[in-house]
Amino acid sequence: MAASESTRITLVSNDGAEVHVERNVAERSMLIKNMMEDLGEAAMTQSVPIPNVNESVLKKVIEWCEHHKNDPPAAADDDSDSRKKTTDIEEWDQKFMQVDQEMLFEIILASNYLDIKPLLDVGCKTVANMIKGKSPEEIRKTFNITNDFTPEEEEQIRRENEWAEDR
Amino acid sequence: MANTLICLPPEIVHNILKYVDPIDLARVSATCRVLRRSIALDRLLCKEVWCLHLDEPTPASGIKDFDFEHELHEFVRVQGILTNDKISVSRLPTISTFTSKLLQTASPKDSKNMKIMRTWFDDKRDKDHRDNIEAFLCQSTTYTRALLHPTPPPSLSTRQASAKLHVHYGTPIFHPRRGKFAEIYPYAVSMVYDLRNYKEETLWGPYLADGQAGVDWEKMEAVMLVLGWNLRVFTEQREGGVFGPRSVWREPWVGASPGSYEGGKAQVPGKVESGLGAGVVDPYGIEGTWMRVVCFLDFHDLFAYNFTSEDELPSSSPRPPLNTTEAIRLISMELRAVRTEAPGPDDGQELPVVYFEGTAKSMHTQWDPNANSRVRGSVRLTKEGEVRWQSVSVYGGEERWASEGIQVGGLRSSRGVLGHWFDKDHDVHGPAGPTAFWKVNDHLNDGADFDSEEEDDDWTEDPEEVLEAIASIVGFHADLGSS
Amino acid sequence: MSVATRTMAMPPVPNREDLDATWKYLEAGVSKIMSNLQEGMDMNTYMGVYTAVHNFCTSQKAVSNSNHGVIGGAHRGAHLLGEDLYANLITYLNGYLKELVAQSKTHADEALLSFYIREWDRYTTAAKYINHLFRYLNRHWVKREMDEGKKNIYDVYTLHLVQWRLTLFSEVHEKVMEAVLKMVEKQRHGETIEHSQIKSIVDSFVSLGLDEADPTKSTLDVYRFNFERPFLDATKAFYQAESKQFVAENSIVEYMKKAEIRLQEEEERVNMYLHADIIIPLKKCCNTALIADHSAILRDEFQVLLDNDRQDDMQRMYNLLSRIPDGLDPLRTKFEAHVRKAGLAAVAKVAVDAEKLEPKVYVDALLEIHTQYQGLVKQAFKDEPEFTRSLDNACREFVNRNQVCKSGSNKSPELLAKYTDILLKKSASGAEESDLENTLTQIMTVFKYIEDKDVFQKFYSRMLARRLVHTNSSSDDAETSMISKLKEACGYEYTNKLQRMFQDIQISKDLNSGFKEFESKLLEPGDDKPVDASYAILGTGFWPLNPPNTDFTPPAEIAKAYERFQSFYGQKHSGRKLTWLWQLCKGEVRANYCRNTKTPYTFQVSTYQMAILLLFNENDKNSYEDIVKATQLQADVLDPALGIFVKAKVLNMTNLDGSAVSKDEAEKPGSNKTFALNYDFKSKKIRVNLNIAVKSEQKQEVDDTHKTIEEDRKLLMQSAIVRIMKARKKMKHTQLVSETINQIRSRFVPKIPDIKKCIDILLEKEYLERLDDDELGYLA
Repeated sequence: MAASESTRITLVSNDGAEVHVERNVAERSMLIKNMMEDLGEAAMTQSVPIPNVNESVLKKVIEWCEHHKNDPPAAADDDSDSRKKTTDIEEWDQKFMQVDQEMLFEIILASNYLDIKPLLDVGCKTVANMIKGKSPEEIRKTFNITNDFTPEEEEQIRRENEWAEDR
Repeated sequence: MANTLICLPPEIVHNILKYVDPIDLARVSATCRVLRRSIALDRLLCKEVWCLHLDEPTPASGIKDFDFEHELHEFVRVQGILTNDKISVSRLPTISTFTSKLLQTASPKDSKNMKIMRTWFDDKRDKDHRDNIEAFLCQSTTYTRALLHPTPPPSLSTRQASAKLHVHYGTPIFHPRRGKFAEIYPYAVSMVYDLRNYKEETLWGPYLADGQAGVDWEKMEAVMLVLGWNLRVFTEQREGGVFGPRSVWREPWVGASPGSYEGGKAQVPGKVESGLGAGVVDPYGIEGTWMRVVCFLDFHDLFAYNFTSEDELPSSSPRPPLNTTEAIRLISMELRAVRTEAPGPDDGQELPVVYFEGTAKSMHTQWDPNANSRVRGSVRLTKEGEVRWQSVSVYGGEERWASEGIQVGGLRSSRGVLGHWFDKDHDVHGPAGPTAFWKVNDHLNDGADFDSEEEDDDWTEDPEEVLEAIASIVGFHADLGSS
Repeated sequence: MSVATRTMAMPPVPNREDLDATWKYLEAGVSKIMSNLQEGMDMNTYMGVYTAVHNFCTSQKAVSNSNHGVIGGAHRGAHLLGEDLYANLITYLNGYLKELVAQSKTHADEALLSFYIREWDRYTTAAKYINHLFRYLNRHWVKREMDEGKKNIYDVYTLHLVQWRLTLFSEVHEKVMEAVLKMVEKQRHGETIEHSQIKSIVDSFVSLGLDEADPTKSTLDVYRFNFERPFLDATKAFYQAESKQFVAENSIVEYMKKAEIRLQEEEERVNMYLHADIIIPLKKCCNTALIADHSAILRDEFQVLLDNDRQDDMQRMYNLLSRIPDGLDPLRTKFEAHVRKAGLAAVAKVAVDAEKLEPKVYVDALLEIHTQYQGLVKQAFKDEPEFTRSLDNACREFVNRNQVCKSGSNKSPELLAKYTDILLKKSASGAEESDLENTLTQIMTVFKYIEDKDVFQKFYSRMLARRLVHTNSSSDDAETSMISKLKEACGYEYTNKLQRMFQDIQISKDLNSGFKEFESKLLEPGDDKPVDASYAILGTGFWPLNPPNTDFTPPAEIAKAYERFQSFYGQKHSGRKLTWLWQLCKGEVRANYCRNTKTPYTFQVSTYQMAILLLFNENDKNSYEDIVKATQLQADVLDPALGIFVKAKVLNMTNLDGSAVSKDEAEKPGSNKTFALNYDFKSKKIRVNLNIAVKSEQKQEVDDTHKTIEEDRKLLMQSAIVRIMKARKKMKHTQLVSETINQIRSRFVPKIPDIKKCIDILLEKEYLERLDDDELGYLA
């Protein structure tokens, strides 16, 4: 089943657009990688339907995969080694993630569906960075959240979060 | 479409929140009900945030049920106190407790806990910060007595907390906060060589008078200061300082965590396999070569200091500072565990008591009649969970010196043991003094001989040989008869 | 849907929030994989199933139903979806596996194995697919459950294995195992089987082992309990029965061969189709049934094999018994006793007349036994250290305690030393250098076993002294080699004096050439040529020699020479006193007086003899009294010297009045006798050796040696005691005794009463004092 790098496959977005992509790029997605492995040669010639992702998002995701196609494959379960984890985002990814919030969340959801863990993490870290150092009000503003607490609840929360303001 | 933060599936919200700073969790949970619930009901979030910034406690640390949420809050709290420029000595117990916990749970390699503590206690950052840090580290009796403008000493718990912090920090501070203190060394000497501190109630060790070897961190700190001073003098005198514990006492925090001894992998208690005799389990990592340092005052000085004072000191008053010169001995010990016993009622119950035996050799004064001896002793846990070492040196079959000490940083730490040495019969007139030892090698030197002692061999084998004389014989040819 | 599936059509793609519809869709997909995978899986179904799982797990039905404004309402907060899918999957697998259990009932034996293996392969292949398709469930819901510490939650692949074990395996494993064991038994009976089937079963059983404490790890528990245990039981039963019958019908040697083959076969069996983990228990099981159960009769046979020197069979027995714990100890005991007996017998054979026993014969007898059984240890017992120790024990016994030693426990070291002396002496036979070296190495073999090494040392040093003084050592190299061998065995102290002796001789050589130069300068032209003499200067402490026990006036010819040497030596080493050991000096005298000879005879004589002969330069006749007066020699030295002259007919002895001596006095010189030079002396050889030691002298020397040994031992014990006490200061009497024995054992085995005597002496000399409670103290 050794696939030469140049083998191309066709992905079909949920809005019907065909996207041609090198197989090893597409296989940054664990979903596609496993499927290729399971279905074998037969799958190579067919279009792969991606029912949960639209064309613009799919293209964006593939752009990321292109850039990262030579990254070492993620370990089967890299969550287990917490020592290697950081909150850092590499420079290219930071630029890549400079998109509007809607697209940002779309990328996160698509990478979650396609099972591209590194991309999912980059997306989540980007959102986390948007939260860092902000007051609750600033966070609400950033993410368009309505404050639905009653004054009593606000007081309770202030008491609960005393540890964070202890200087 | 779920294209706002609060509409994302919980697994994704979780994945985002685990990357925020610990302090931000408070802010996020104050935004709206959905996020508040996401955080409050997520039982793993605090653990993951902790593990991103700090070390995950291993089973070796002995901590079960680590409360990540609580500890994460404490982390934010301590970070707040330490990065603040206000000196608030009243917060010392909080800091000391939390740093102890960070050390206890530090991973033996590439520790994030150590890294963050080094940043917190970075003495090269700026003067204000250093003053602030030193204020926390220098609140024990030894330091407050040395203040040039004395203020009433802080409470016992604050003093203990500061001393413990300092001992764990591990690089002795001799000239804190320039200009505010007198020379520290004489005050440390006055605690270490005050023979009233060697008494039955404290088991002659650096302990509180609780009979259970509860650690008296102020005594530990004084021992560290006195030995640190002498080692520094000693290594300065000998260029290069081959014997000096270079890294062990010079880098803050290093070695003050369980399992930090390189050769000694931290092991889960109870599952230890060792190369010792059949059935002898050594969770403390005893087997190997240890470096020991012992200091002592000339006996006349010690006696004069303790017993010839004009007026009787009240028992609670410390002796006056003493600027002196001590003798120092560096000793190489080779130890191995020989048997174990179940812990006694006054001991910590998690690990057995392990007995050891071995030899001790002086590193530089071979002529010293005390240079070589045998050593035996035991290691156990205290009720507080500290690792307590007792040893006795045996000369020619006779026990002479005993010691009591606590391993700083716990099980298999590389920092080693700080403590007291004293006469094994507990003579009230001493002598006594400070000692420390730390492991340098897992191996016993070749030819380490546990069964025989060196003997000086000056009774000659054969007394006959001293007869001085030379005997001789000849054999010869001679011509005979008329030629 | 474009792809046609003959057996099953997929239901419509479900609404993401509709559990029933979702499951119905998934079940169809899963069934397809389970039963029809070989027909291929189409991509739409693959993506459809994956997407359905994803969509269900990420659906927000709870959100859409939520009541605004109430905390604790229906929003699922951190709650992940997936439990329903997981439960449904379990139900499905249960149903599927129960159906398989029912089918299995129709098979037995090898057919059952084929069925099990086929279904296992199909099931695990499907499980891999399904695991991929349910990956979203694994990634989030399952992972979260596990992180939170929930028990009995597994990733989807593992879940398949768990269900197989619970539902199918629990029902069929016994029957499967029965079939396996039947096949193995067939093979043990020599039939050919398809062992790859067993290998597949082993693999399947191993895969089913899960560590309950940590589901990411596997254990061998299932395999051990359900495969290994019954396998070992069957093996044990098989070999117990087989060996019992075989032993009854065959010889022990035959049985050993059989057992060897069986053990070999079982080892191959592991490589062929068993799990490597079984090696140790399987070996143990076979060892018990094949060896340990029969160890008694095997060991009984050992003596027979020893007696008949059946090396191969002994090796076989060693190999077998070494496989069971403590299997070899009885062999070692028997071996040791046997070697000792052989050694004693060999000695008894040569010791018929102990007094005349040749050292070589004795040592060769000892060596022969050692060599023989060392060979056996090497050949049959793999040079195993424990057997070597048994050999050493046995040798030590028969070397130190045998018939020859009955006359005296020091006999072995004495004879060994004498043999060494013979070897190292110049001899006519002139053995090859390499032969000599080999023989010396053999000497060391015996030496190793000697307990009284101090006795050897004493004899050796006396004989070395003699060889050096008489310059009849065969070669310096051989001497050096022997000394260094002894040094290696016993340390510097043991050979210190020997080495010093050797050095003295070397130094003396230099001294002599220095003296020659010195002497030649003194000579005036026309002076007589001085006596050609060489000198040896020996350090008092190192040589086992004593000053002469008779007065002696050396002849003038010699006196002149040695006085010159003395002044030479005095210049070099002022303050040293030289004592001449006349009894060891010798020389040659040319007899120019004999008639009827073309070449004069040369007499090799002792200095004492020379002094006597030189008297005849002045007078042809000397009375006994004249001789005594001139030489000052005492009778016990003089008489034997004269005796030899008389016997050799160099001198003729008559009574004072010239009458012939009576027959019974013929060779007994004494007063009232006169001696005359025999001008008609005849000899076949030009050089005549008259310097012959007398038998009684030799005997005397041996006795002296033994006496000094006793003295030395006392000193050695005393010095050891003082050394111990100096270190310990205080000690119990009994403890001191045993410590002393420890320290001295390398030299000899001291007797306790002797040690006690030494302690008493030291108490008297006030090195020690008596304290309370049987303790002794050291007095500095």
